[in-house]
Amino acid sequence: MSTGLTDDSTIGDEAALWRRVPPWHFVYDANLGRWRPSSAAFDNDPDGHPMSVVLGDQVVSEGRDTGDVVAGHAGFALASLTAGLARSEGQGVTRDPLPDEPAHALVFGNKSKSVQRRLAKGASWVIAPPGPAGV
Amino acid sequence: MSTTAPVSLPEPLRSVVEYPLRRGKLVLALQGTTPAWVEPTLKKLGEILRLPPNWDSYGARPIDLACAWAVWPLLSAIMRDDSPPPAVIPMSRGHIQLEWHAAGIDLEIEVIDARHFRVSFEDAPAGEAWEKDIEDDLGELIDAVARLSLRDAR
Repeated sequence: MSTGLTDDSTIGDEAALWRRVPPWHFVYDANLGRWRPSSAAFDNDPDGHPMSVVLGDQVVSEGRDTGDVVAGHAGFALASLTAGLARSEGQGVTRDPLPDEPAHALVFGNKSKSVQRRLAKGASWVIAPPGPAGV
Repeated sequence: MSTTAPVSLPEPLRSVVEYPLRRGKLVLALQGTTPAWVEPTLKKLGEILRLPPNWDSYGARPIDLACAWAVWPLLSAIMRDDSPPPAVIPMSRGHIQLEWHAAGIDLEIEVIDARHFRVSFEDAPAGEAWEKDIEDDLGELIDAVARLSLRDAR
């Protein structure tokens, strides 16, 4: 990890990390028998900035809910992965509060395709995709 | 008295993709019976080419038209008539990823440009997994798609 960021041990392994998933990243995995996010949904930003998530527990403790995280993004789903899963794939997790999202955090580290796919397979839906992909 | 030989009319064109240009539009059409994977793949390519900046809400770039053009010769080279269609996935960097998840196989091909592909292959039943950048020599991709197609057809 050469980002200069440090894994935050106050974020427990069980902590839920939520990430928005656009409709173009819903894929049917016949091996799993279900719709899941594409591995492409779990990548660092195009400019190399680490992957953004929000800390689910913090969102809830602030009196907000999952719907607030996808507000304004019609058709998007919300996926959840644990900090422990991210760490098991060589990633670090750190808080990165933003003015408009105090629960914002970063998942930093190299994300090979196989790492991205394991994150995608290990994620669960907290807001399932609408329509056939949500069945 | 002369007789006229029956003339077979060309099969009609089916417009599949319409891509707006600064003036006019680009239309891709199919004619005749094409492999089942062709039409849904072209349609999806046409859809993702229209994505605006920030389509993923995390700053994604629009899809690179050159990547979309590169998908077609790649698929023409590696697909069989009976291959299942790939999921056509836009990537935040503007690339396109082709994915298959069936028959115990996970195959993902990121099209970076016309000659550069980043590939992840995992065949759980066979206990085989690899990830590599591929340029020019598509032999491993042809083999991977053939394995997927044959097993998927059973």
